[in-house]
Amino acid sequence: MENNVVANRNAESIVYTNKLIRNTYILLSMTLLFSAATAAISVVLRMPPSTYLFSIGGAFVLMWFVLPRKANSSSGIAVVFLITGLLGFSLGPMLNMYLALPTGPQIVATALGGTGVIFLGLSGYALTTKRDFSFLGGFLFVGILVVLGAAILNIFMAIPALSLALSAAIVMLMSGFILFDTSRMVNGGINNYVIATVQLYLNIFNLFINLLHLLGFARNE
Amino acid sequence: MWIKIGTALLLATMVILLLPQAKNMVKHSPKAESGDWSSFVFPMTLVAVLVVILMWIV
Repeated sequence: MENNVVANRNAESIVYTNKLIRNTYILLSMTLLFSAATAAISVVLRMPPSTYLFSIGGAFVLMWFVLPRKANSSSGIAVVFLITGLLGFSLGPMLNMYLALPTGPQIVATALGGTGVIFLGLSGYALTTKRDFSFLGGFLFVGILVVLGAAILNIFMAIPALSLALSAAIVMLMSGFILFDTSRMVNGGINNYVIATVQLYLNIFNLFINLLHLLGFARNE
Repeated sequence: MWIKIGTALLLATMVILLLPQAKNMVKHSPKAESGDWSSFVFPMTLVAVLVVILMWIV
């Protein structure tokens, strides 16, 4: 009798986790398409560089102050689209800068492909391996704080080597966060697909921007 | 210049908001078991190699 109850609970837990993963990836793919559309609009409209700051600032306010309140309601999905749409729109000025270079389209396409390969590879690894990567939490959060501190300094110091090192560090940290967040979805650390989608989206967004920076550097552009 | 100041303020706000979460993570994250770090280092090495290859071919 007890064995049946435990087996039922395990089966329920597996069904719940599978539903969470499926919903997260469906919403994530829709938000990626939506943010690609808003990025394309921003590129076509040739938005000024200040767009980056205002769009990210707006998305940041929504993420910290609106999303936690709406995550458990249906309006949470609208907030996710608003956040990812704004973040996509913020990419316009940067993409225009790269696309204006002789090998710009190749750099952007390579960064996009590289981001896809890294995300799919790491997600697949985290979903199939039996490991729980929640032990990485402290390491990744301290790492991101160190990187943010160094990035603030570099805004005013403008040292190219530091900028490059920061991009490389962010690529590695975001790769770690993909493992961490995916593993938390599988092992019960995240129970809400709206929150999981935003976290994975942010990993992909930061990975793409910094890979673009590294590839641009590799071409001396 | 105001864009630089705005960006710095945005990043500083992120640091302030992330700090309690980071402290919580450091205190309450489960400890790594044997083999956990190697299972993390292996895919990270592959990512680093892929990035170097992309930088090489682009």
